[in-house]
Amino acid sequence: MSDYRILNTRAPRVDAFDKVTGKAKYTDDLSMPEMLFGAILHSPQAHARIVKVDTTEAKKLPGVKAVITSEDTEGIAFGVSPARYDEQIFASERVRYVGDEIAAVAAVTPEIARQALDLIKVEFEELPSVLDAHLAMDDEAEQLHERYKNNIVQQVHWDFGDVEAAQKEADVIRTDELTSKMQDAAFLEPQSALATYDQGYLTMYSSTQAPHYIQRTLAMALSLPLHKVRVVKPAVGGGFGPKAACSSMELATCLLAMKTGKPVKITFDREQVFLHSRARHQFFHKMTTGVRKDGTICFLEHEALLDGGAYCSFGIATVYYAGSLLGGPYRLENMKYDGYRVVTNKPACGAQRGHGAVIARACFEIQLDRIAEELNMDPVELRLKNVREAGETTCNELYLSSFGMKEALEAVRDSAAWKNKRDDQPDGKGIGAACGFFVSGAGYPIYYSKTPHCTVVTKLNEVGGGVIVESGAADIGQGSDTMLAMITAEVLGIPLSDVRVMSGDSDLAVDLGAYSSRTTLMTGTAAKEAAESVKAQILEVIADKTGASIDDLDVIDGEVINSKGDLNIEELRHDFRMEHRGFRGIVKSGNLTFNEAARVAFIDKGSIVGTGKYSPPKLGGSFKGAAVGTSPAFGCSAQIAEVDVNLDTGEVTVEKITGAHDCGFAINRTQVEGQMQGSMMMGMGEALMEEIKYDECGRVINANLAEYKIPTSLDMPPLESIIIESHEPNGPFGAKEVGEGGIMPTIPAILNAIYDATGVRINELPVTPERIRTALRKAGKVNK
Amino acid sequence: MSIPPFEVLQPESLQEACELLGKHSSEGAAVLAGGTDILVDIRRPIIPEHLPRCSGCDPKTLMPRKAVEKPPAYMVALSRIPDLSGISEAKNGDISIGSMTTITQICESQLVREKLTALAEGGDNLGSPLVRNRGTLGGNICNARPAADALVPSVALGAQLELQSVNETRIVSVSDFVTGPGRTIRKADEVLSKVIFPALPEMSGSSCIKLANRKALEISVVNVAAVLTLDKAGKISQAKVALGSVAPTPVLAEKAAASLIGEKPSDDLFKEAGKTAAGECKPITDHRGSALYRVDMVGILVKNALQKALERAR
Ligand SMILES: Cc1cc2nc3c(=O)[nH]c(=O)nc-3n(C[C@H](O)[C@H](O)[C@H](O)COP(=O)(O)OP(=O)(O)OC[C@H]3O[C@@H](n4cnc5c(N)ncnc54)[C@H](O)[C@@H]3O)c2cc1C
Repeated sequence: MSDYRILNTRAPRVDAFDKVTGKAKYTDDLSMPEMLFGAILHSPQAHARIVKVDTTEAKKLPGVKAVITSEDTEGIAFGVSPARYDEQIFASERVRYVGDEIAAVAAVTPEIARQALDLIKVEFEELPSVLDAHLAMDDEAEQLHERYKNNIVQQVHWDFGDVEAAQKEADVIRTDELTSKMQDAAFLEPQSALATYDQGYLTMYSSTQAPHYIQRTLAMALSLPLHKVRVVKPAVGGGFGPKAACSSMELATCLLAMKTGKPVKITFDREQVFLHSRARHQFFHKMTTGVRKDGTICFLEHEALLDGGAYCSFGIATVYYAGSLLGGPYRLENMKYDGYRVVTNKPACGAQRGHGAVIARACFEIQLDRIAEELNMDPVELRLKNVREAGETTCNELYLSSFGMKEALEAVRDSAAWKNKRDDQPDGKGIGAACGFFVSGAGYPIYYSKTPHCTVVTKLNEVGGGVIVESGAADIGQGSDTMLAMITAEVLGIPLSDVRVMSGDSDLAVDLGAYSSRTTLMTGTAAKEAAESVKAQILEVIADKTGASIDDLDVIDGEVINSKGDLNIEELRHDFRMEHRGFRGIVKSGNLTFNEAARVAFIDKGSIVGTGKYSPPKLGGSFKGAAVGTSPAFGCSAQIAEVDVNLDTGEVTVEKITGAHDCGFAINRTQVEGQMQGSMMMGMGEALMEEIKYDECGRVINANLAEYKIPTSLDMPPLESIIIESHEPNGPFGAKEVGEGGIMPTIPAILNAIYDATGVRINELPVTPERIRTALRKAGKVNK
Repeated sequence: MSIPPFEVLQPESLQEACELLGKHSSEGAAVLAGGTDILVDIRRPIIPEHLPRCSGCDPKTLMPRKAVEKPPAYMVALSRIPDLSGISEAKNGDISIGSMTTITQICESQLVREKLTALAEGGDNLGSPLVRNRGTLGGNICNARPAADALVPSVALGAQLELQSVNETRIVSVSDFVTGPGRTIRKADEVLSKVIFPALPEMSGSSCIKLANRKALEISVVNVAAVLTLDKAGKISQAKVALGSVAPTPVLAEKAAASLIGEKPSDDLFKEAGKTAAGECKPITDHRGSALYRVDMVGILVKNALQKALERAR
């Protein structure tokens, strides 16, 4: 067991009560006096020139306060990567997907806003639309953006080690492919934004994952001084990536507020969540891997094509991640990667849990199983033979400062009774394993900068007692506020209930946001540093006042303890008691309490504030694109899935998933398990059911959660979550990521299990009953 | 707001409900039961309809699919009318279920589970607990979707519908009632008051199976209900097989059922019946499944449904 009092426990989340009782306020719950309601006019066409937008009638509708189009936006361009600012708040010349924004209105009721949309006239001149990622690269294909020749937004060409030489050493060489579909993150809370503009100050409440990036984009696009833009994140019902970038909806809300001088709120309908997307790309992977007879992996040649919809969004990072994160967790010294990210006339894709790496990982792990079969080797053994250990560096220069891959794989192997089940199962039952690898915080911000990735300001309550932690971190449901409170309470030696966390507000501190699984490692480190500073400042005063040596003092369970004997606190206590005449519960005897000490320190020094920051060390190699994939630490995980496939209908029942994840150190064990379970659930959905479907005109035909399937509670099997703690030297108390890495093994573990159950390989996700039945039929495995 | 405004009327009697429906029929008046279909169906497309679609777009297919031509200006709620919900067994063994009976009530009724097992199983397969708590049998039948989970077993069980209007009460069979997807022979001022399931003879059993991509909240790829009755010699004396999601309305697979009569039940017999049923439907290919897969699955599901019904008949 650990020596900690608060860390590594199952402390209830600090927001649990508010969430369970419905007290927590999400953006759409907010309301302000005179608030107007906004609505957005989306394009009905996938690709068209805009000939004319006529808002005359809409403006005349009583109750309408503003109607804005591209004419009101001064041609502002924005996006995610500064090198690819290819988005506009409203399309000015052409629309590029069904859903592209054309205009917005603000009105006194939502119904009037909606009616105003019905009065806006738009004339289009249709353009040929490009819906197929492969065809998009043809020379004859219609080009979506002038700057993207052949519709390619970004290409990557990497060649690490010596693939050619390694080919000669390999005894078995296989080529496999895997195709996925665009996905939706299916968070519970649709995007919502509320903007106010008052005396030159813009305040935006938004259901965002990254207040900092929103703040920057708003200031840039609206030509406002950065310090006059404040972004506040109320409670957020999940993000998973699509809420990490500023959207034109957020910008439109601000423009409407600035134009009307009134607060304006826009909340997406679920269908708009699908139209806006920014969720997982569609991936086409082709991998050729060579291994020696003994199972040693010699090389990987990897080609990837990413369909990213109409705009770049996070696409540059996505296509880099798709290649770079195959550098781990195995010893792979020779790796060639050619990746292409293209634009098509579909909703833009961005980052989603396991950014860029999920389908690549699935393809590679499925291939490893096929190789194991050819070698007649147990697939877990094949993996164990190749896994890296702490202290190693991958061929693309990712340094593994801690790495419990072997431990994770052995843990699931043993816990799931792999050997028995693998060897001895009836037809239709199957078991499969896979591993995963992911960053624990991206090494660099999205824009070029040497900025700290986050800061934390911890302030002692001046009337005595607890502390307030001020952070810009975005708790989007993953529990980062609880993590910050636990670290602070642990460092200060006080109860969790004496720490209040204020976060997700750009006025409080800088924080790049909840993406790339960074918050625990980065903001946790900053919080630790800030709390340590507060503690030192208090103890310094106490040492001074009592004559004890500061090195002998500590705060334990809310009391100041002198390891060298008693503390002389008579006078301090007397003063404290005199200050609190009439107060009840003032201690008379015993050790000096933290409350007393804090008050004494404040009276002596005035405000006591501790600050902390996190800046990653210099990371990565010197090759082009080396920055993407770098991280101060890497998480890894292994999973084993057990399935039952109905060979008549193709229906798959996942019966159990056993997962192990190396999170370095579990700040909160329940939350670590929660992230692991959420990842497994999401991965299972992506493996078996999730798919955005388009018609031939580029319209999403399943833009709701009835038709876009994610697993229900009845679909979920028992999940076993095993925590591996490898003690990461760069993380607070040894902690690193668990937010995204846990999804990596799920898809391939399930697909490998389906193969074990059926003997048929399916190279297209999701693996629906129909795809299985079709594969069985093709393989002649269907009873006549 | 994606739901257009409407006015809710809350009559206290069936007669009043029919009158209100008649009175407002020109402006559009709809019956409101649990609302789990109609409130979804009247949503406005997010992208306004007047905007020009691309030349390839079928102008009728909007997003979301427009299920209701013109949203009703009035909703006539049945919730205040007494005696519209409940399950009772007549002396002759007929079971009558009020149209406002919720799917949950049906699933929890011992009587239904025992005597109308297919209906209870169809109910189990419908939506989620939340939806079952609100959704009604009347709503499921009147909404007339070819995949509807209570409608398909009702067809197999030979349900009779009591339709009430200002001037008349008529009884029609559920198979005659449904004429197309979302279309019925219900007149504007008619309310479905109850559903009568004729008594099944001794030695009868029924079942309902749903195939979908997940285990709840699903629209069937295919669903099948089967009813079997055995004679004293153990031969099949009556059989009904209803297929969902394979045609514009639920289909009675009459040839498949006929092939069973007078036969001794066996796996082979049921398998053949499955094949016959597969030949009796003409499903379409849509994003939920291809026609080929559906036909394929009809064969398998019919066989499985008959086997389950047989176990219960014995
Ligand atoms: C999330 C979700 C999941 C669902 N899943 C399923 C599913 O798995 N399977 C399935 O079959 N359905 C499903 N449904 C559809 C729906 O819940 C059912 O069809 C339900 O039984 C409808 O009953 P209701 O009382 O809510 O009908 P309502 O929506 O109130 O009415 C439906 C239609 O019938 C008419 N109507 C209702 N009652 C009468 C009456 N007594 N007389 C005349 N006309 C009447 C209404 O005017 C309306 O046109 C789902 C719906 C939702 C929202």
